[in-house]
Amino acid sequence: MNDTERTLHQYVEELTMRLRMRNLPPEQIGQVVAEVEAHVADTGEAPADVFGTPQEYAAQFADRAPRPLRAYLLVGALMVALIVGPYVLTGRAMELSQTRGVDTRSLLVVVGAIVATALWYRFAVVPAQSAQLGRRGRLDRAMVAAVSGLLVLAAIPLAWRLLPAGPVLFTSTGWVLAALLVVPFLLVGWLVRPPQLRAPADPRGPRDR
Amino acid sequence: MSAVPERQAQWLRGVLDLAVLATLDRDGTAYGYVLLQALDRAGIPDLKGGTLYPLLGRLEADALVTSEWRTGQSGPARKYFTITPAGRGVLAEGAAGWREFAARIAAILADDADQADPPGADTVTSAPGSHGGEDPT
Repeated sequence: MNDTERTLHQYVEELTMRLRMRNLPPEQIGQVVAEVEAHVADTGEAPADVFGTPQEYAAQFADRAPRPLRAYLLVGALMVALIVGPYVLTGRAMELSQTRGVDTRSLLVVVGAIVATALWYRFAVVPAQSAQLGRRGRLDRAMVAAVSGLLVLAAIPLAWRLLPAGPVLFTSTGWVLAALLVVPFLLVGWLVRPPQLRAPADPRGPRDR
Repeated sequence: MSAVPERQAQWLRGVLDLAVLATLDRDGTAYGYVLLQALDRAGIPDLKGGTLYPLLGRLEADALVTSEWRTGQSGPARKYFTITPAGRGVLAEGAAGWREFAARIAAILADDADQADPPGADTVTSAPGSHGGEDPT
């Protein structure tokens, strides 16, 4: 492999990862990459000179990726479905209307679980998607993310067992509590969102460099 | 430094899709690099692939062009684009709009040039060193 081929290979690898992170369909990623390869084969130009950095070029396709707000609304809806779903499926939906108390243990476990999940996502899941990693590196990071995720999952019931039940802080219905659970989760998720969800889509369309 | 001044680059953003559609309409089926060369010859130099290819993707998503991958005798496969009837409709409408818009701006700029001239000066002026380039119409 000569220098030109190596440069193209590295560019294409990083571009592919950046486009994946923007949730472009695989067949579309294949087409974008094939266009880059064909253009470089025709002109012999360095891909970064023609298309910009992989990150910049991938950003041109931002309008086809899910918008951050839509993604977070989807996560919120999924969370509500996960909390409410079991009650509905087992015919106990009425229980959600009943008033129940929230004690210090419940609050601590919920806040701890949200913070732990956010930290796990930011420091275990996001690095595993890094474009800088090779196939082997991504596999290793994915294993680390899976194991640490299981640890976070196991720590929640363990904390529940170890902590003493405290005094009731407030009472509310199951519906309101489910909503209260989703809001801080989304808020923390927003704060630790990865870089690709930070840049808004460019509404101006084509840009000249 | 780009050969296209920043102001022209701004103008181009609004009409590049029409320029691409017009080139495809005139030249028939073409792939990205050929389009870049054609646009270069037509007076839009230094247009980057990073601008053209995403634009072609958007035109395709809007069904204004269709595409087909073809393998040549040598080299990688290339994506050939062809304008659709819907693309020709958008081109006709956009070209008419551009001509009207450009004429209005030209009239405003001509008025401005008249006012800027000292009394008695020749009203037909040319701007030395101007980046105005070709008549857009």
